[in-house]
Amino acid sequence: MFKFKPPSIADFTDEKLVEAMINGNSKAFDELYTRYSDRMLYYFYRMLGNDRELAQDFLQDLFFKIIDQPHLFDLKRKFSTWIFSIAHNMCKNEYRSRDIRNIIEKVENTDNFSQEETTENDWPCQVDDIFDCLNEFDEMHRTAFLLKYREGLSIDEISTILDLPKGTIKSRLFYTRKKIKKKLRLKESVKNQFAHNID
Amino acid sequence: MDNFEKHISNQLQNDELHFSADAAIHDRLMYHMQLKSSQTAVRKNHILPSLSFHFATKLLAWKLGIAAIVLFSFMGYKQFNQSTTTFHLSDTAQIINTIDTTNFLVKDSVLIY
Repeated sequence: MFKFKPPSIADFTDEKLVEAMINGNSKAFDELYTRYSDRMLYYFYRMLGNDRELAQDFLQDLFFKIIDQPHLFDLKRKFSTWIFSIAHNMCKNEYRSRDIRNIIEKVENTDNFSQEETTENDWPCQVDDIFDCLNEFDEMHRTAFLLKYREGLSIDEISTILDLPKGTIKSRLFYTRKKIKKKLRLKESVKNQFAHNID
Repeated sequence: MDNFEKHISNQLQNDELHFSADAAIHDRLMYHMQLKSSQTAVRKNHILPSLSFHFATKLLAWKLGIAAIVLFSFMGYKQFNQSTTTFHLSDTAQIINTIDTTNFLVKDSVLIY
């Protein structure tokens, strides 16, 4: 016999969840948080120079913003694009308000700390190499790179998030990729040279 | 996507942080959300979800089936099957209103036989 089963909140799309959130459904917010907290934490951690505390603070601020102004979301758009554009603007403001050189120094310190932890957790070294190279770029290049290769977003979506033309995104990605490739090759050759000298 | 792009993509997508979001953040956010939701007027309107369910395309086959059953059951209802229609009309054109005032008693008048 047919039994009516109310739709579970887990089956809702992100956009439907925001709609429910606007109507005051706190379970919808909980579901959105579950879906996005880890992704956004990773994004902030990598964008803000591997600073764990800062990433946590930014994560909290981001979701506070979403709770306070969910009506700013255009229900015809994708939620992921919206949340990443808020996150990107937060990072941009952070870069503007701080002295970038101080951050880079901090990054180097935290990088050393995280590398010690990584060895314990068996992190692949390649990722650290990529981020070492990536830290030399500005936040626009870094965001585009992370959104493309970590989040798997399309060029269209990245161009909406960064509010830049598609051509610019493509050229930035190409430039970043080229430079990282070059640096990784250089690193590899130095490593090989070093190993050869030891032999 | 060339090999290098695939390699980078794999490396980044398999990369995981060695920590997760602080549980206290979640608690604070939920508290804030609950405060916010208590101020939402729309939340009190419970008719909207049921209405939207009725008009949504979800479970359309079931809804159409039920509507068809209701329709068929009303087709057998005899009051809806009126073959003849009777009109009741009245023509007042030829009616003359006459008032007989013979036995009317007017104040200050004397009745004489």
